[in-house]
Amino acid sequence: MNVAIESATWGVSGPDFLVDYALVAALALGIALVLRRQVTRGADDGSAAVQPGPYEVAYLAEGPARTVAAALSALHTQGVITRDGSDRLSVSGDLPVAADRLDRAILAAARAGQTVTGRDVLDDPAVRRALTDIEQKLQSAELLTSTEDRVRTRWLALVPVGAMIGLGAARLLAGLSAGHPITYLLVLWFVTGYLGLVIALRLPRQTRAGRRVLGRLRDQHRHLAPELSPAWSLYGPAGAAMAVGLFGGAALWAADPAFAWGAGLIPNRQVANSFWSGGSDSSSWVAASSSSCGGSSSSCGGGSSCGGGGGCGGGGGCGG
Amino acid sequence: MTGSAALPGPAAVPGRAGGAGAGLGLRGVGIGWRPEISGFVESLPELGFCEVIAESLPLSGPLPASLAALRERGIPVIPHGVRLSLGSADPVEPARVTRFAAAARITGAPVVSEHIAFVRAGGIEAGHLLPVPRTREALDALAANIARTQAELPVPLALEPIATLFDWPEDELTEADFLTELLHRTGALLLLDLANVYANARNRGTSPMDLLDRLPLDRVAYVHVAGGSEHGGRYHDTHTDPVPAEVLDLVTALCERASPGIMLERDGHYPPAAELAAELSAIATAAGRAA
Repeated sequence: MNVAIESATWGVSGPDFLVDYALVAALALGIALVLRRQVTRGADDGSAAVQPGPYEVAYLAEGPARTVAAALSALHTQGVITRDGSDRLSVSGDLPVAADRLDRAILAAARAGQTVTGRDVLDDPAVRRALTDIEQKLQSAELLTSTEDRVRTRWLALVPVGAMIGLGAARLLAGLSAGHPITYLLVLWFVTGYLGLVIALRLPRQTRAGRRVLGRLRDQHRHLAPELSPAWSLYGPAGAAMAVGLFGGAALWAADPAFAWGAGLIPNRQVANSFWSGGSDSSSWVAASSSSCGGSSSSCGGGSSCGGGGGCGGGGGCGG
Repeated sequence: MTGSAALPGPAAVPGRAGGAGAGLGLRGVGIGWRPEISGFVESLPELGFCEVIAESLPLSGPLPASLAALRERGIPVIPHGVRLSLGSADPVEPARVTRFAAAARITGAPVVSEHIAFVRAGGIEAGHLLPVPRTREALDALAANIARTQAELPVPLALEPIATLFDWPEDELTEADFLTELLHRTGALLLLDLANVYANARNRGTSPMDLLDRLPLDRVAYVHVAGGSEHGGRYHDTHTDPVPAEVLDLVTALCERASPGIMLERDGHYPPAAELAAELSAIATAAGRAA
C-alpha cells in the first residue's frame, strides 16, 4: 500500500488525479465560457428594436467587402455606377438624393479614378472611413464585438485554460518519465485543451444579439433571397442593397451577374463561407477576396471554379 | 421598401348578376404571384386574391413561405395550370392531372384554372400555348380532356381562352359560340382574360366590346388583365408592359355587367413597386367606375 502511494506521481494516484483534473477543468472551461459570453452576448432583448439599414446589415453579416458590394449594387440599380466593357466600373449619373456617406465616398473614389475596380473602391481612404463609421455604430449597438473586447477576453479566458493545459502537460510528462500509463489523462488533457482554446480564441465578430437581428431580417426579407430571383427593378436600390447585405454574393450573382463580375468583391458564397468559418478578422477577409476568383479572369473562365453560388454558370456573366 | 397600394375593390352592385363565380370568394383586385415579386405581393394590404403557376408548386406541400403567409391572411391562392394541354388530340396525361389536383389541395383553392390550348402534340413540346381549331371535332376532344381532369379535381375548373395571333382556316364556330358550347358541355367556369379579348379583337379588326357582349359572362370565375405591346402590326399579349387604357375600359364595361374578382398578370420587366401598385389601383378604379 505504502509502496503504491510513494510510486504515484506527486503522491496522487492516477485515478484520483483524473477525477480532480476533470473537475477543475470543467470549472476552468466554465470560467472561460462566462468571460466569452460577456463579450459575445451583446445587447439584451432591447436589440430586437434595432433596425439597421442595408449597409449596416451588410457590414454586420460579413464586413467591408460585402458592404461596398451592397452599395455598388444600389448605385448600379439607380444607374449611377455602370460597368464598362472590361471589368471596371465608372460613374454614369449624379449623386442620388438619398445618398449617404458611403455612397458619396464611393462615387468620389470612382470619379477620381475615372474607372475603378471594386477593390480600388474598397481601398479608398474615404470609403474606409465611412466603413469604420458603420463598424463603430454596430459596435455601440452591441451587434458587433469590438476588437479590443475580443483581445481582452481572449487573454482573460486563456488564463484558466492555459493553467489547465500546463498542469495536464506537467503531469503527463511526470507520468511518462515514471513509466505510468497516461492514456486516459492524455485524452482528457487533449479534450480540455481543444475545448478551452476554441472557447477562448474563436470569438465571433457578431454578438448573439447581432445574429438575432440578422436572422430576423433574413426572415423579414426572405423575398430577397437569391433562389427567388427577386426583381431588383421592383424592389429598388434599397432592396438591392438589402439583398446583397443579407444574402451576399449569391444575391448579386443571381440578380446581376455581369455587374457582380465587375464589382469583383464577392466571388461566390462558398468562398466567403469557407473563409469565414475560420473566424478571422474583417481586414484579412478583404485580402482573401482578392485572391479568389473575382480578381483574375483566368481562374473563372470555365465558370466551374466560380459557379458555386449558382449565379455564375447560369447567368453567363462569368466569361465577360 | 416595397410600395403598397390601397385597392378599393369593385363594389358589389345590388341587382347585378354575381355569375357562377360569385360563390368562389374571389373579390377585389388580385395579382399573379411570382417568386420574383413575392415581397411586393405580400406587402399589398388590400390584396383580393392571387394566382400561382400550378406546375411551380411542390407536389405535396408545404407551400412556399410567401404563399403560406397569404393563405394565413385568408387570401385565396388559385393554381393556374399552363402545361396540361387540354387541347391536345391525345388524352391529357394522368400524372399531370394528378399534379394539378395536388396543387388545388395544398393551396386550399376554391377553383383552379387552365387554358383552352395545346402545348404539345405527338409528344413534341411547343413551349407555347397554341390555339385549338374551333371545330366540332376539337370541341369533342377538349370536352373529353376536361372531363378527365374534372374527375380528379376537388374544386371547380375555370377555363381561359388564349390570345391568338391567327385563326385556323377550318374554324367552324365563332370564338363566343365555341366557348359557350364548351362551357355548357363541361360545366366548367370561365377565366376571362380581358387582355386576350382586346388582343384578339384588335388583331382581327373587330370590336372587343362586341366580343365581350357575346361571351357567357354568367360563367365567369375571375378575370385576367395584362399589358402588351405592338410588334410588326400585331398586338402581343406580353405580360411585360403596362395595361393599355383600352383594356381598362373593358374592365369598366365588364363590371357594368358582372362583379368578378380581377387580377393583373405581370411576368417580367417589372417596374418599380410604386408603379406596379399604381397599375393595380388603376384596375380597381376602372372596376369602380362601373358602379
